[in-house]
Amino acid sequence: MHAIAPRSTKRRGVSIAVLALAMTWLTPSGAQAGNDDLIDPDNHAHHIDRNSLTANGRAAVATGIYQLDRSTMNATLSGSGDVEVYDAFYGNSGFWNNLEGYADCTDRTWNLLECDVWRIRFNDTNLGTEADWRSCGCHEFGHTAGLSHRSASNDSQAPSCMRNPAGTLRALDNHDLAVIRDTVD
Amino acid sequence: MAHLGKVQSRRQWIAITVIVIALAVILTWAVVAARQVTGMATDLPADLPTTADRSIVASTDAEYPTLDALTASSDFVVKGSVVGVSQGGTWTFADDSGVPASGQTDRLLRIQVEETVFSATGADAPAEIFVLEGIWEAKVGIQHQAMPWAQPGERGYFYVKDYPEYGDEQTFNYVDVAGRVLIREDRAIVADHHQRVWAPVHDEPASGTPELSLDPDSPGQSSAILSRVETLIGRAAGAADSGAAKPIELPRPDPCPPTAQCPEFSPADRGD
Repeated sequence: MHAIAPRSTKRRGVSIAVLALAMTWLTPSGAQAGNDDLIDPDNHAHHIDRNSLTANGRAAVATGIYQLDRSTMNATLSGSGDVEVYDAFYGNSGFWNNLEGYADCTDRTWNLLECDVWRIRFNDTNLGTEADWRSCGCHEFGHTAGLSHRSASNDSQAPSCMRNPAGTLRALDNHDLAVIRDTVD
Repeated sequence: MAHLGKVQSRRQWIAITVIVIALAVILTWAVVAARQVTGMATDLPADLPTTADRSIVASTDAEYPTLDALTASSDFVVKGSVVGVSQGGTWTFADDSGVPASGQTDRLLRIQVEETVFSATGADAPAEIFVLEGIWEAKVGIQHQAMPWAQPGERGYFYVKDYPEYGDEQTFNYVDVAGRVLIREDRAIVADHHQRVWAPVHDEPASGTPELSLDPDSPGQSSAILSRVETLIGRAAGAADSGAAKPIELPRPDPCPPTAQCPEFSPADRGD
């Protein structure tokens, strides 16, 4: 029995470790309350590629970079490979119904827990003035830092551009900045 | 001893054979079970995945303030079951749009309608409808984070409006990403819980406990008590029927100026 008990203990320890690892892997990143229930970027550096953008598209990117750089992120146009940005007339039918733009993670890290490469698409059809583009830029780049949507019920500070629709809102608020600080490695 | 060795060797081979057969049976069972779960997977070409690989988080140009408004803005609100998934038409975009030349192909749910909960015209919805839910781009499945792909066998409420490019009376689009409620036993899985249309579920908890909680399968949607949500759905349908609730008119800009390379749609034969 003396010989068996330590092995049993060791097995239990291994089982718990495996279970804990599995739980970590299966639980969505930041599944707790708030707007951090989106996959996080793999690091603070955001090297951004502007792919044949219009003037409005470039303005949206500039706003996104400015807002991210207020946080612990380091967003820059130098280098490439972290965020690919496009704009086009994607229309307002089908999947693009009501959409001004979207962000998605096109390449995850090896363990699938974080995002290596983001893609942003701005919809020229549904974005009107430069102010609309800048709001959408703040919103979509906020997603690339792992922020999900805010709503009136959980946005008690100055309204955040992570509301949907962003409307004329053009800034991340302190809550958003704190989420980025606390969740991006 | 040599005889004993032969017997042991034979037993080892028998054991290996049994294990291999057992593994084959388990594998076959798993494949069949997976096909049953994904239901009409055979409706799709083999190279189109039945589950989404990517989730988008989108910025919208408007928000429906209430469930009444969402209902009144729908052509139909139906209760029904997903009986299949098929490949729809394909949109192609400008060369520098970042979308591959193969475009974005619609993923259409085939829904058997049990009940027309609301109708803008007063007429019942067709017995079977198709609803756009997600796309494939370069054979990769893409969904809204707030509306993970529904699969055959699931039941729910669907808020839909005409999808004019198909030119039929059977194919629809969701009015909004918030326009779907899936029924799972006594729970309602509400798409896009961030939106105000579902705020009443937040606001009126029963038994002193919050009714809306994050859906463990998807942080973009929430799980709520079904009976409570069905009451809200019925009440909103009544408001829309009576005219007390008005549809929201969204801005509908021209999809594209004449000087630009515009999106083009190619309908597909869905085989129906």
